[in-house]
Amino acid sequence: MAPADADLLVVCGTPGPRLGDAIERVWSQVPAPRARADVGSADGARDELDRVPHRLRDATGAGHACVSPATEEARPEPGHGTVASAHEVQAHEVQAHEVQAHEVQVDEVPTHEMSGHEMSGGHDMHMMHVGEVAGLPMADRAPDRDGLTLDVLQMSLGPVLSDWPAGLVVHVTLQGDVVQTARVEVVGEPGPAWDGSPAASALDGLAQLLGVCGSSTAARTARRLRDDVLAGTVDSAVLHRFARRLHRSRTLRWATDGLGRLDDGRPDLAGDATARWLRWLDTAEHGGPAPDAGRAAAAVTALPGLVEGRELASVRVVVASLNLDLDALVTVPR
Amino acid sequence: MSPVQQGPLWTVLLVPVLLGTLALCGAAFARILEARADGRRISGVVLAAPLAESGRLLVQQRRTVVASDRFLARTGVVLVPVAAVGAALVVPLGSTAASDLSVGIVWFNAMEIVMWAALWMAGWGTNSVWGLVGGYRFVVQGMSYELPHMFALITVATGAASLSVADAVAAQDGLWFVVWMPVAFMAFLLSSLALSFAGPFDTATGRDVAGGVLAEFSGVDRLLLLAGRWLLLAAAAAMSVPLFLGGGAGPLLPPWLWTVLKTVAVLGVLVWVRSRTATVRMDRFAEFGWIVLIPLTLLQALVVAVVVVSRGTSMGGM
Repeated sequence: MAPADADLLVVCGTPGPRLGDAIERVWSQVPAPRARADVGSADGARDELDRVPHRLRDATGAGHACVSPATEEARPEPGHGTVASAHEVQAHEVQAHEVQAHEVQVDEVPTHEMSGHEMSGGHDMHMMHVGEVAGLPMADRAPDRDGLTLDVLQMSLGPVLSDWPAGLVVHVTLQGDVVQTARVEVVGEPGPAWDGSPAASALDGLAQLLGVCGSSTAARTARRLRDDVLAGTVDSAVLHRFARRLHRSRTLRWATDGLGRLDDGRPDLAGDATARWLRWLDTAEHGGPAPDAGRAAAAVTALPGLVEGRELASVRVVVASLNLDLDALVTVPR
Repeated sequence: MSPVQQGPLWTVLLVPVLLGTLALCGAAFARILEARADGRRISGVVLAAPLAESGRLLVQQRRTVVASDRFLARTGVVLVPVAAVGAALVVPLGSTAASDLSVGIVWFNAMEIVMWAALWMAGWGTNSVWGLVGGYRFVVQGMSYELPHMFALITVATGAASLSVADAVAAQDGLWFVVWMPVAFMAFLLSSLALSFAGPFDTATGRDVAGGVLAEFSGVDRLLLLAGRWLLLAAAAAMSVPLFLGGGAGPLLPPWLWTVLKTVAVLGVLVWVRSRTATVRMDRFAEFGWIVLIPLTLLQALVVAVVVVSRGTSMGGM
């Protein structure tokens, strides 16, 4: 879920220059031993992924130029190994002595004495120093909506993040973990819009939403069902059981109820996050309209208004509940 | 059933081994549930996955963030498994406890509180917004689960008229506490998940904040945090047995085996719940904790107190 947890970076498609930069930064944060696979098009994907375990085995770390947090939920072709199994292979076969040479830390900066003192002061730090620490600007303060004066953090969500539409960037101003303002941007080259099964798209969106909501087992099932739908081997009884289970899940409703409510707009975005994922379940089971460019555009336009004033976690749920297909966006609305 | 006694000193060394084995079993069971959701076959690879993952983390490069407070962060990281083993010291296996403290129940609770500090330090120390948010989330979560948890422990102590775990086991001779303290038992199980920041109470390490406290840790640091979380869940499951399920009491089998069987059953239920639920949002859980759980556990404590007083049990031990 973060670069720290990855040993494999898989880049699917051709990122544009800005998305490429983001990918390089993520790659620089992946701890060794690591490997990277650049999968240009779907045609060579299987071969490229098959080569990955060997590359991981040979990976001695540092020198390689590689990229981002592996999308750890590999999208295995039916009958093929998953990235998870690549992890396991690697765990056994990397020799300890190979790694010792790389204990130097990736992001280490020569400021030990600062990191010891400046940061341990906790509250003092915020009161006393507004300047720089290790070359980075300190957070400034500003009044928040409750009339308190809190640290203001500028931060960008995306463009690469797990369970997140690749290329979407939400620039947020945080106080505490509450989003005060948000600005949306889209980076990367648009690819062809999804023209496959709407059911697969719905299940894919569902998998991301479930992942963000911490329902990891259900997210796994959603991914499996999505792959089954794409392969045309889906068992409708299994799908039905899955849908019924989600319908009954109180904790999932607790996680999504009342978030991202859109009432005056397109019917396929209407309601809160819960209403939207319930519609996806319906689409997954009984089919439904294919998502079109208008939906993604409307969702991106509405997004800042939906997340301002919300807790950081809610931002993730709101974004996931829109199931954005950014490739369907031809022009970026501002 | 023979009363719980203090074991010889070497049994202390056994605690981390047994707890680690139990934690591995729990982690393996979680992997089995995951494999089933994936539609994968349950094989040796799945069962060995927790060990393989540990191996992967052992050889992985450690990393830090610019200007992070490494002392604070690493102290927090190390404290998580240490607190878990510390908590397990007072759990009797059958009729032997590595440490039969006269205030064992309080000791167990104190180790959990160490967890609050540990996780917050690990999150704050990384100098990352994700870690910071995760660390604070755990503190908020603590505010919501800790009071019901303490009331559940107090209910047991009231029923046993003692703060010693051995006395709690002895007091259940004939009638297990779970029978007349079901609310306290449920509150204890819920808070077991919460204190080991396992789903549905995993907001501190949530995927929505890129792993929260875990976000910037790799290698050994990450291993200690993840292992510590499983050790904590195992310790809490083990503690539920002497507190509510009669300790080693049971027919035919030896007491130590009954303890193990009950512990594994409780752990299995916890892991299953963990895999079936979505993360509970902090604001919702705070509401539930304060408006529903606290009054319910207080009421439970009151009922038990009234029963104890009306039975005329000697309160000399308190």
